[in-house]
Amino acid sequence: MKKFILLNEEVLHFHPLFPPLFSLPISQLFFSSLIFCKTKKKNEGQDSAWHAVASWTWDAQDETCGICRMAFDGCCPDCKLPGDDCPLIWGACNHAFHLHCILKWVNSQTPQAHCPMCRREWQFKG
Amino acid sequence: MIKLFKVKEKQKELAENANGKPPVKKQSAGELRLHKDISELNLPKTCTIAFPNGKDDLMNFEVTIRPDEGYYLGGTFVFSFQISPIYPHEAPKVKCKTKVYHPNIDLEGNVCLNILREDWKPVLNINTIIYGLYHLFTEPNHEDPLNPDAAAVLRDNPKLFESNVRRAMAGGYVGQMFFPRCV
Repeated sequence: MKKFILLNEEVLHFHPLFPPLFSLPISQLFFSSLIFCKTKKKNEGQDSAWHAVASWTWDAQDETCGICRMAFDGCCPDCKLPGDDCPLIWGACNHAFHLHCILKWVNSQTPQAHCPMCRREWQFKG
Repeated sequence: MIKLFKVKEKQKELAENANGKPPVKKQSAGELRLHKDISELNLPKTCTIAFPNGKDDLMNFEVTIRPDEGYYLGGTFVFSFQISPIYPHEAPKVKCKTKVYHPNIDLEGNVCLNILREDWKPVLNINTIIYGLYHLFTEPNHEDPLNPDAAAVLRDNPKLFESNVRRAMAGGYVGQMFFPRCV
């Protein structure tokens, strides 16, 4: 699922295309479109301000999470809505999973969890 | 027209049931994942899968392996799989239902396969386990044995091991232990 965010002129000017709700490095998001649109106020016929609307998807190398096999653009099986509520997270080894899926795995492994893909020691990418 | 009324009645019925207890059990995350695993199965010709409890119980099933090479050529071996609701965070429980003379399978049917135990990780799936089991028959391994006698024979005298396997699969005794026919 694509996620649309509304950027006001100020945000667009000072923080180009940065998702305001979820602070991820911009390299991990893939912006597929940026459009400008004008909105009209309900009762008046006049145009109001221009708005910039960007849509983005996750920029992971895979399409699906290796743990739950659900789409990265969807959410993990315990969540209902994709996006900020069910984010992706990268390990130091650059493998991505749904945050909830990898947390479940990491918490079940003692003392040290390993990446389910490459078996390297799991560390969250800083 | 009649059909439409029937549909409406059914909907009403469902809604009434929903007020009491939930009419349909929600699929657990484990079931959801297992469903994907099963729909993406890509088995070798030597392996088949069956659901003895029907399609309502996908969490318990059987896999039959008929090796087409190696010591166990011609035998038929049945494994039961039990999938936990927290799959894939826990490995499936796999048992061999066929009594077999094998260094890595004991006489109770416990299977020694690394990916079923210490090396399990949630990116593995049912397909990889079945390939792992098949591999046990083409390459039995005398290190890390569950049947130490069979392992010692395989290590010290492969010819004797081969004839022991043949005898066990045809239905007969190896030492004091009887093995039912499985060819």
